[in-house]
Amino acid sequence: MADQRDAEFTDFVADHGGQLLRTACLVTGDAHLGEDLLQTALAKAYGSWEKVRRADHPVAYVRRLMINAHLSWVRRLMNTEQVLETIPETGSGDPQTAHADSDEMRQALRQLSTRVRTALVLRYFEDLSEADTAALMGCSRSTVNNHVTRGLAALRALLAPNGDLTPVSRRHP
Amino acid sequence: MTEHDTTLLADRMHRLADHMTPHLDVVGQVRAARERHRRQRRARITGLAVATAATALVAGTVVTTDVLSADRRTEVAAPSTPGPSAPETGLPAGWEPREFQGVVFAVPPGARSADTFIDVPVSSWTDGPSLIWNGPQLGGDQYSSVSVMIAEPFEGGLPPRGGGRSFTVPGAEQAYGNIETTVMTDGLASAERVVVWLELLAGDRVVQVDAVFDGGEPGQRMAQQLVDSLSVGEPD
Repeated sequence: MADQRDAEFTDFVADHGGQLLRTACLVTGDAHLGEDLLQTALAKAYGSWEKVRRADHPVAYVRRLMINAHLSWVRRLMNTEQVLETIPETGSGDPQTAHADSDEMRQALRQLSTRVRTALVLRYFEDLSEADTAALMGCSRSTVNNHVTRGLAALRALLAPNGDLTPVSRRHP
Repeated sequence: MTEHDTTLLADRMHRLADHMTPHLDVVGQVRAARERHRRQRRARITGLAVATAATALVAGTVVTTDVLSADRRTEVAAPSTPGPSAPETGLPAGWEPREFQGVVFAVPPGARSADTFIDVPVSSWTDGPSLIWNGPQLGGDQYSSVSVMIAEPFEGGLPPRGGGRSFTVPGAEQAYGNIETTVMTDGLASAERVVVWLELLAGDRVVQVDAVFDGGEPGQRMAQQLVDSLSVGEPD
């Protein structure tokens, strides 16, 4: 029985762990925190594997565990979290390098509050609907709408002070 | 942002994820998840054993006290410790009482249709049976509503949520949520609405209450009256 669970769980991680890890890295803004967040969610999923495998969408179920764990961390760390209000020094590295676009994007995302960043990642990276994002984050659709509106406005200011969202390496001088 | 902008944003997020996500070690992740789960399970069992022993000790003390003070107790007309406060019985004018699986609450007048019952079993902390009050149209495609859903607890308690505060609801061990004023967008139009979200822990179930009312003072008042009308008893 346990062997069967382990086999199924391993298949699940092999099939979906990569995408879940990508989401975890984006919502935390950090690769190591992303790995830890994924492991937290996977430990919960392993513990209630029967429920996960019977769910209509097991990946969505585990993603929900992951986002809840993430927002729970945030609540505990809220007093120490610092959200910078100033525009970051975008493009501080060599804009010709392959990493310039990612650095600029990562810096911009990290300026946002965690809930706003999470809402943006779920809406535009995971391509979830507003209703699904609200369900995942445990808040109302209107709250998600507010987060997304504020996040997009902030990203526009952070990423495209000249109104150009094109990645920095592709911008014409 | 235009659709082009959001497409660019999605594209950049995907490239950032490509860039910053480390290689997934499937075997390592599985092993770590399994070990972490087992550690947590052992900790829970240990905690349960301690709690059981403590409960037995407290129960023994209570029984002893009762035996020793039995005669004196019969002279007391009322218990010294008050029970849970009774729910408000007086409803605002026009409000109608509702009861769903032991959850008592009230809804304002003006329903546009009969209540909707979703009769599914409690299957997780996110899904279970619900009752929906279908309120009047607020404008566009937005409608006032109140929904009460019964779900499982999340790891024995309320689901982890942020952005709310604790409430006192008769019959509930814990209540957490908020009454928020938010802007809801419907197509091109936006309007202020009052939203209630509340989760109540009562024994082995969690009651999720969600409601949408019109914005402004009337909506705030309705939201508060809904919360004030709530109480939780035993399911039918």
